[in-house]
Amino acid sequence: MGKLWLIGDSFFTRCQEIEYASGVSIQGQKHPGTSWPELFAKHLGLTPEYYWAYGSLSNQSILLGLDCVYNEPRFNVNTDKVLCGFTATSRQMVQGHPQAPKFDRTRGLLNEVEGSITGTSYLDHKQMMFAVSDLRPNTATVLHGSKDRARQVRQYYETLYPIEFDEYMQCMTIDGAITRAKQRGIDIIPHIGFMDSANWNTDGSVRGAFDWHNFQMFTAPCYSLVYKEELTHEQQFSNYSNHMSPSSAKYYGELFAEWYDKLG
Amino acid sequence: MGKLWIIGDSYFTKCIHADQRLPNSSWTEHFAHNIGLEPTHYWAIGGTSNTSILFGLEHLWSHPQYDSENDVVLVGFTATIRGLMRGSSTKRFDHTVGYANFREDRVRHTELNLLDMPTDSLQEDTRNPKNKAQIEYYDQMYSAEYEQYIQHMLIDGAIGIAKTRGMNIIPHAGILDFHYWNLIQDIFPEGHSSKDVYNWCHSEMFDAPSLLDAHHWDWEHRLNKGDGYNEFDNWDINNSTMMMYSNHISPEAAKVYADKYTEYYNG
Repeated sequence: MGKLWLIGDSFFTRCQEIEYASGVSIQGQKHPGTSWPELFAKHLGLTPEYYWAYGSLSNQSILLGLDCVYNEPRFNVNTDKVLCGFTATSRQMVQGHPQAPKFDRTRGLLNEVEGSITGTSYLDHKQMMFAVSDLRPNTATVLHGSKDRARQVRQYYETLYPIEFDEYMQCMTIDGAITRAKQRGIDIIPHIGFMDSANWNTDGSVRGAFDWHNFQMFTAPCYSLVYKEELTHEQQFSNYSNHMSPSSAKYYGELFAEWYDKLG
Repeated sequence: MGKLWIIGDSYFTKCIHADQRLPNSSWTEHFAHNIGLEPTHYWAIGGTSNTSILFGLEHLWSHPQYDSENDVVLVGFTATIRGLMRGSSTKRFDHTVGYANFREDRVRHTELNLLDMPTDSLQEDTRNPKNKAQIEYYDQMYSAEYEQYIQHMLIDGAIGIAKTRGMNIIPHAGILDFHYWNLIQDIFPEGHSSKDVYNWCHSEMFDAPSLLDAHHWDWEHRLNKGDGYNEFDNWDINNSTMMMYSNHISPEAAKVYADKYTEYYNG
């Protein structure tokens, strides 16, 4: 049986409830086989393979995963498919831990695992209405640095960083990477993921931020359709690790499968 | 007559020597004439970055004079240490206005070499909060190796898109492949080219004659230096062929290089 390789942010992870004790989130009950990518894999007759799907991944990290999957020994370009979901353009990659080895493409995903590069979600915290303060301890922790480093991050993003331009270049990189994957023979299913959520970008939709060559992913059902279910968006976002209840995931999985089948 | 649209850094500009314009003296003009096209320097800017170059490439599609049926696009890449930062304008970057983003200083060019500035000028520079933040960013947060990787991915993808959309594109490695401007030897001691450090789908540009050939011609014929001489290793700004011309290549060397490149292109 072929595999569906999964790459993306938290929306592409397994489903696990999140519980809160004294304001701190802890991992709760797991719901195996109930995430929408797992249900979609089942629909395709493929085994879901969680390759590089983690909460808060940046698009650059996701593209690193897409670049690396081709060289994964267990990846079979003839029988497998890759579901690659993108995320908010507000997330970035920066230099990692000073003691980590320098970034080297041939080390693949180890570059991020071992801290050669690391993600920063500083702008997430600035943009999201329900995010915590940008100076929460985690900001510095994520950057493997001190509060001084967090201050530098803030100074850079507030003084120098042209978010609109970065969004434009991320769109170009993603569009090019999809084309590149196709040219390498990968059966890729690009998914816009959380990239197009109005809370996370600069203009409401990244569809208009770039002259997309691979625009088909914008025609797929969006996540917001399923949040009309029994729980609100905010409740599902905070109560489940992949931000969807099992019933919402089932609904979305069916919608997406229907859309995918129509593509032929 | 179709056009050769030219996009790139200083190596792809027209030739200026001692404040005098020297028409038809750049290698890009010679090359255009060699292949029967009218040279059109569309987005060729000294000190520009790969991100700007690719923005120019993308923006060309909406140019009213661009004819994808008859025109050819020469796009030359540059050092990956160059990038863009926010400018002084309060206007936001808007991809639909093209070069006006730079003209209006919505975004501006920057490069890692800021870190190599002499201490005095660096201290002066850090009085400017923007420069201070940029230098701190390069010092603390910027992974040059990772940036090189992601720019290679960006370039390879953009070439792929241009081809699949039907553009007759000639990618040129430019100074992307100069050892002095990249990190190949730091990362891959065995590597000789950017071709070796990324799994390119569109690697053909690395097989073309290098712009270093033009430099070698100048060093040999203008400086009377023999084989093995390299101006980069013997830097003398007062006796530099590279600094003498705005596009770093003498008219004679430009002709030689253009003919060699044309032979490669036609082959």
